[in-house]
Amino acid sequence: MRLQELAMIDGGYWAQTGSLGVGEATWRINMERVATALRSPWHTLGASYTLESGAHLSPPPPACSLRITARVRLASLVTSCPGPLSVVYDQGVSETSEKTHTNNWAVLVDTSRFWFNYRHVANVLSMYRSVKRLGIPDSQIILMVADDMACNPRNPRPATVFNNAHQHINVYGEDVEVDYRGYEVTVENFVRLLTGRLAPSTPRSKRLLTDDGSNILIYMTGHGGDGFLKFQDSEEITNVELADAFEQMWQKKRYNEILFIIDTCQAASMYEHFYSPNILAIASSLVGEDSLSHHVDPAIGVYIIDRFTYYALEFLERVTPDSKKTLAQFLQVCPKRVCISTVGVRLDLYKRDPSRVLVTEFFGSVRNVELTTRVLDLPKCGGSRQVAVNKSVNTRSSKATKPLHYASQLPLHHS
Amino acid sequence: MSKEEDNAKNPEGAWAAAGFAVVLLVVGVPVWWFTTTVYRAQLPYSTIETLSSQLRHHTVGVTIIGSLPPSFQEDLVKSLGSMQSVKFLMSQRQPTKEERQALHSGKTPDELDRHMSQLVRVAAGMLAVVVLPEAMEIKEVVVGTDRLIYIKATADLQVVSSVVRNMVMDPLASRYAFTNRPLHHKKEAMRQVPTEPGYDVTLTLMVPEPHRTKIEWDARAAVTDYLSPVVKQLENVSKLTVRSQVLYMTGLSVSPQWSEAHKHYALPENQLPLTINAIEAKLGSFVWTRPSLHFVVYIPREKQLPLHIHAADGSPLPSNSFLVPRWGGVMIHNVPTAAPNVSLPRPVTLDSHWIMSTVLTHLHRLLPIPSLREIEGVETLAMKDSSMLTAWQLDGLARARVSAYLSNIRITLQSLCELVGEISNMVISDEVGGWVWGAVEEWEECGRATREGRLQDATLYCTRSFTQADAAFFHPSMLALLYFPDNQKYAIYVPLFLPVSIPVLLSLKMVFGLCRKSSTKEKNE
Repeated sequence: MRLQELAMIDGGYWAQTGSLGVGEATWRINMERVATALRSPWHTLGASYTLESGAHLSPPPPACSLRITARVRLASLVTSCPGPLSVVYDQGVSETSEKTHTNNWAVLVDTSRFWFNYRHVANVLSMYRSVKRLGIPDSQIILMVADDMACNPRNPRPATVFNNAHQHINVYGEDVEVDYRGYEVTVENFVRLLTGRLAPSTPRSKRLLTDDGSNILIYMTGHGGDGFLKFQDSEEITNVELADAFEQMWQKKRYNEILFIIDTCQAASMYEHFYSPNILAIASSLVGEDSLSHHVDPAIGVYIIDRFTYYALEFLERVTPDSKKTLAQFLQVCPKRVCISTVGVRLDLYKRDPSRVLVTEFFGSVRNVELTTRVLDLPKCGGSRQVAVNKSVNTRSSKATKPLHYASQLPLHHS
Repeated sequence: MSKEEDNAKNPEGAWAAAGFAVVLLVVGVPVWWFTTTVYRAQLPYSTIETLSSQLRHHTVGVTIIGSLPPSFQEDLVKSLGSMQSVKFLMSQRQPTKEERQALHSGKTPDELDRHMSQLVRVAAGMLAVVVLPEAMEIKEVVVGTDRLIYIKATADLQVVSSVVRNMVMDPLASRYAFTNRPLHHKKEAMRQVPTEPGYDVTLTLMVPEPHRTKIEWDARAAVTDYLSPVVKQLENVSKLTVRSQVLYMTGLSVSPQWSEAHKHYALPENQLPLTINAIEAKLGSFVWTRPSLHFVVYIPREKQLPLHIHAADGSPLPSNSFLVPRWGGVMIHNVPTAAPNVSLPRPVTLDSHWIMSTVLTHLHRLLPIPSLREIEGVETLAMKDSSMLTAWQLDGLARARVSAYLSNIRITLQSLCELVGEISNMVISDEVGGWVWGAVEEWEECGRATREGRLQDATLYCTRSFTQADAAFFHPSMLALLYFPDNQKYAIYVPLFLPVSIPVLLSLKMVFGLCRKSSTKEKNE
């Protein structure tokens, strides 16, 4: 594997011209992870490198770990190792490992409708429940669902949506807040939501009011194809349009980092054209593969949930708001033997190391708090008012003891 | 051969073909062009480019009243000159007779400051450094309430230089003015609210057990006394709308431990980050679209009284409050525990002064109001009778906001121009065009005002320009999705024109053949 194929995992650059320029740091490349990211099987490599003056390169010890320090210019990195090469690549304790966001938003989109797409609604509502449980408030969750499941005449359990054949949890619940429902879930509304170009009369609950410190979780599910995602069986959004929408967001500084999860067939095609920084994309299947659903509920009669979301939820159910689980663990959540399709990940636009990023940085809402050490020393104001305050308080309390009665329900007009 | 002879014999075919071609080109193409061009209002692209590439700096005039050793002055000039986004214009003059009298008669810094502020009139956006006579009994560097700095000739140059720099503009804001991206790895940068023309400030009093404690707090009076003067002062710089509410039966879900050593319930620092998630939905932040700041006053539950926040090292925090960056602040107000046989609910009065001091501390850090707390050896005088900001604080805030606005406007307009250039058939309505022109004009004015040091004008122009640029950028018609890209134009028009044009082009061959025939015939003849 030549250097120009190395993915950037933590700092550093895409080595596109065949040389890796690194900063002053200790870099150890996890080739296994790189192999997974690039979907190519890992074999042995050969090694050859040239050093700039003043650099140090420790020779690969027998355990086959390569450690690159300080200003190294590698012409090509091809190492030969008898066994699996574990060359771990991290940038020491960098400041990028610190949290850089101030608030969390989630945009959860289900792009399909009709009864036989029950599982997509269950997918997105289960994600909604997880995200709410981990702390993101409703005012910062935008839920776009066709919402035709719970009250569908074919639903044997009306007003409920389940994500499991055991029907433990009703993910529809009593406090679900759907922001875009029914025929409002369109490509135009979705792109308007992302770019912020909404009509002035749009209510706040339908706006994505993010700023440059917001981490956004974008989860999309439905039916997809090679390069497009089908919306409500009548239109589609292409990967180019999605990439352009993200670029418009980046230019206006409407996000800090985006975690983009997509659970459809041929999902990896949707993130192919992204070119804005700080996006980590996870797809449930690669181009040419179909994402499969998990199991059918014989009582309801349709497939209840998709495989990728099922295993992702299993993982998320064990995450508490103060948990220390990392994104790297989340990326391993659905190996090929259970998911049948291969999970695709796009890491090159994401500068931080996923093994240092907590899951709650996207799924939960953990704020940075600062203790106030010194309070301003203000002069006491309104001295003359103190007496008046006591008086007004007394009068108010006496007023409060009047008995209360219900207002008349219907205004009666006395003739 | 016969075909050519036939053609030569009936030139009508050729004339017909020529006629078709002429109609197609002269009538058809213009009609098609005019019926399919979209209306695009003219935008000032070149002006935007010129203004984007201009470097902006603030100009601050500093007058030194008194005499300093020349080396001190030179060094001061040099160290101030290294500040990138601010250019200092130094001037010097001797104090007048009244000023000299005031300098010698002032006993305390406050008295001195009061006299001098009346005598020395410093314009908005400028500073004055007053050199004190040696005999005075005050600290080396004292910062007054109205743009005056009092220093002794023996003061430390570094201290004076950093005082002036911090007074003039927040150091983070000056770095921000030069980079496109915000400074992510700085905690201070992430603490400030994003620069917007207006904010909503909500004061929330949380009473989880109203059946046990009846809270009596006149919020309106507290806000009028402490917060309204500041809000009024900041009117031109940022509009703050203040509201207050009381939340009953809602508590923070915290689990404090009883601390025997301090005889109170200790709330460790690591429980704080998750506290506000549960109450955020109830604070009513979903009502307005302006960015909101929340200040929460929490009365602990009866069985958790008294509740104190403990820092990481286990010591209780005297202020009992914490700041959430870009969101607001939370403070815990302990009330005395109920005596055993008192009738419930018992009335409790809250300490307005403490609450409003905490609220204003948090507001100062969020806006952010420049402060000199980190610099040692400096005494800062505050306003005596009210909670209002000092004039230099207001100037510093205005300057930081103007820098942030200028950077934002540049990014917005550049991005808009790129978008419009990319999609050549995007409609640019007159409304959007008007906003862009307005934004560019005000931007130019703001840049000029900044360079000339007219801070109030600059703030006004910048706010208007920012609002207009944002309105143009976020106009609903600017959505790229609505317009098909250029390559799809071919897919639409080729099937229309090709079937018509092919026969015409082929028959043109006949026309040319005829022309050549007639010219060769003429030549032959």
